[in-house]
Amino acid sequence: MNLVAAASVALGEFRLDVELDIPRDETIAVLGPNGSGKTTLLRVLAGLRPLDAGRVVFGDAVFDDPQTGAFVAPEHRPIGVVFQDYALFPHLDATENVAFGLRAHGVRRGEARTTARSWLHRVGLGDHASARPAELSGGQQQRVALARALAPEPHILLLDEPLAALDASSRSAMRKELRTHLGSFAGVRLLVTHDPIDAHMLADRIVILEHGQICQTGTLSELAARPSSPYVAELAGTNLLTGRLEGSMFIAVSGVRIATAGIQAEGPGFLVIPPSSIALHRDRPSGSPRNTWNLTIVAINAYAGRVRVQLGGALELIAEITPSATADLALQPGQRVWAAVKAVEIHAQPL
Amino acid sequence: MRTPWPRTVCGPLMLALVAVAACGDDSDQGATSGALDGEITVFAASSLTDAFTEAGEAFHRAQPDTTVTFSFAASGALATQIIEGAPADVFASADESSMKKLTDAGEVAGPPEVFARTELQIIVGPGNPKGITGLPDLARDDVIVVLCDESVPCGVYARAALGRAAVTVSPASLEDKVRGVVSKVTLGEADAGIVYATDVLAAGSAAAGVEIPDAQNVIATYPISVTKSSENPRVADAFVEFIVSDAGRAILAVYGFVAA
Amino acid sequence: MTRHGRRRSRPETRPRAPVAVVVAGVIGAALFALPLFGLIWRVPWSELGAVLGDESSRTALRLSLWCSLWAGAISVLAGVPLAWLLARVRFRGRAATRALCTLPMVLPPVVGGVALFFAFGRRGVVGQYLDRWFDVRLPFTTWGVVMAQAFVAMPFLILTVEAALRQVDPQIEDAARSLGASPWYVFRRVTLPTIRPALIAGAVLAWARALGEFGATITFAGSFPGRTQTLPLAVYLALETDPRAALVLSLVLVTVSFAVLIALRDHWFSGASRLVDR
Repeated sequence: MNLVAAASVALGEFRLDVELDIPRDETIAVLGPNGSGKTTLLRVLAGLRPLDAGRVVFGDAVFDDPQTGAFVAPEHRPIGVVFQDYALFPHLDATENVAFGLRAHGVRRGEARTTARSWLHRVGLGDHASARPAELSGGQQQRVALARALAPEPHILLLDEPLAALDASSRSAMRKELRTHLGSFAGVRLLVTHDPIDAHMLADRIVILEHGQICQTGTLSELAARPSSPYVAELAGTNLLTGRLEGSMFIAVSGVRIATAGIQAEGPGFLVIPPSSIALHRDRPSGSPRNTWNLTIVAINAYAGRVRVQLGGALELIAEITPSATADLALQPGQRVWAAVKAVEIHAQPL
Repeated sequence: MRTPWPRTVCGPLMLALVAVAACGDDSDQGATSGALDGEITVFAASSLTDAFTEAGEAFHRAQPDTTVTFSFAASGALATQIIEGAPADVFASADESSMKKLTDAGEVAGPPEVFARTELQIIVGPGNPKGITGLPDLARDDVIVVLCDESVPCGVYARAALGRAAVTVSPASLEDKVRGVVSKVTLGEADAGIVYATDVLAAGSAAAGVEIPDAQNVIATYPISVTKSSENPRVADAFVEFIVSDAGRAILAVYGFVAA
Repeated sequence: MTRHGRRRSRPETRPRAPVAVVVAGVIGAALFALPLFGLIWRVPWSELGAVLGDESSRTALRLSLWCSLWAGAISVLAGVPLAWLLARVRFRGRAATRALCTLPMVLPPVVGGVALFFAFGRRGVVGQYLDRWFDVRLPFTTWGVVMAQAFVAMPFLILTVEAALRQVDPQIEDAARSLGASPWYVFRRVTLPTIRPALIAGAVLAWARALGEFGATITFAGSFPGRTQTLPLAVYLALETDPRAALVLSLVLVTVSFAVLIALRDHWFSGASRLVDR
């Protein structure tokens, strides 16, 4: 069952106009800056805001159709929503929060509590079953919110900036956990976020939303290769590599070793290399950069006065250089070039 | 100034007089006799509201330099207030017992004078829709009756009158002041009540009255007195004199009060 | 803090209130406390038993409690939906409606009583039909007292609850709906529990106002022992003939109110104090 939406909403001066077809087998991330309409889109899919025009259909069920007047209220849609600030019920403890959806559907108290407790266990909060939201940390609240949304076994899971309210240290741990839970959820999954790393790590496909319109969809590398707007280029078009950290040395999945600066860690991690920090040379460069690789040019794309060079081989990278540099180097797809980047320009983080 | 004063003395003397008048005593009157000045406060029963207000205006016209302020309320409450130290110069009560309270407490300047009388009357709606002819009609089931509570004079008198007529009434309400009874009848919520004849008159076209035969009726006597704690006894005495004078009686008569 | 080698341990303290605020607060408290002390001081303690043992006093107290509790209940049952409408629904004339609901607070109670006549009296707009068709009369009855009291007390509840409803985080209500709760379920299980402290405070305020109500009651319902003569009316009448009894009855009124307010103190502040203590 797919969640198909052709949504048109007007909020004062702002208009949201999107078309989405979300299947069950992939997690979709709607990525966009603040004010792009992501939250509005999520609220429309949840039924918290009716459409002005268009249709929202889930399988055979019409959720919203202004033309025919059909509208299914949120409480009748098989949805689970995780809100940005979690929106946990302050007067109920963790178990009662998680059990809320079940009880609202008529499940008896005892049974609901048992199910709730097992869900809390699944998210690792078995010991905090009787804690009030105010007594839990941000990460714990997030897990309760997730368990609460999943307990009634919805077919559609919607997440609004799921990691935004967490501090940097809890974020990476939560990201991993969330990825696991999303992976084991069997229905439609959609999350909205402004953080490209969240989008990349949690979703299979990214939809870029800007000024109420979808401007591009694809994986992060696809977006990075052919950004359709400066925003996409800036946001999504950054090099993201996963691998392992040993001290300050990063070892990519392919085995390539990349020297980083400013971090000492052991274990899984990822790297961000801004495309503009990669310098290209015809001959092997000498000088300070510790990181130099011989790579093949896969494609060259120009946009907005810049050139993006897609590189492949030992590493898959995208470098951004000026048109004149491209001309000077006489770059062509299929050629081999040397790519160099300074360790201090690389941003490494443990996973 | 009838005798010519030397100029040199005039100025300073005028100044001195002004100074004395400004910071002194209201009770110290000017050089000429007959003219009074100063402020007095008169506490009077609420049934005297209209009559005394007009009397106060007449008194002011006769003595332009005086100001009379009135406080109208239930006689008992006023007496209590005076005993508690409220600044009143004159007290006019609707019954003897409230005045007696004051006398017993030693708050009167001299023996009280009865200045007016009134008698009870049954008050009904305009046109007397329920056809009330006398006290026995108040016992009818279809008549809603309100009376004053026994703690106020009008209530005591009403009960006495009903006793004389051997009529038992189940009132819907026992009001804390006679004007309360009047307003319930004029608003149409009650069919009848027992009030003073003066109140029926004061209600004008909003109500009608049914007389009570003398044999059953009770005469309410209104005593008046200057208080012991009055700060302006000259003006207070003058006001009381005015009330008992022919001029005062004439005003009271307009409102239905009978001479004592 | 070390200075020249001296160590001073600093106990953890809450920031002290500014002096001006404390002084103003003390004066405010004195405004309430002094008349109360005056009352206690002047009460004739020797007559306490006689007055309290008097059947009429007990009747008046019982009637007062019965009527004020009913008035409080009506204030809640009618006031909460009204507060909800004012807080949540945008309709034409909302500001005017809100002003109307607070009208009894600024109106002299006696005027309120007269106004009730025009609505529910024998010849009133609604009252005449109540009388003619259903043989229901409100003036001079105990329910008339309840009505008069509810009229003056309800605004307190409406104001308190409306303010609280506006402060409820709309996200938690959205969350409840997304979990399958119908709007009524959301109201019952999420909104009401969230505004509970304000609801209780509003209800207690309304009850207290109803208990002390005099002007509207005596105007609309009149005064008759056992039926409509509530304690404030009894006090007022006693003042005419027996001021000492009036003092005793006043003390009873004050004591009852005090007892209830103190007993509910914890509930009143439960929400707020949790935030302060953390």
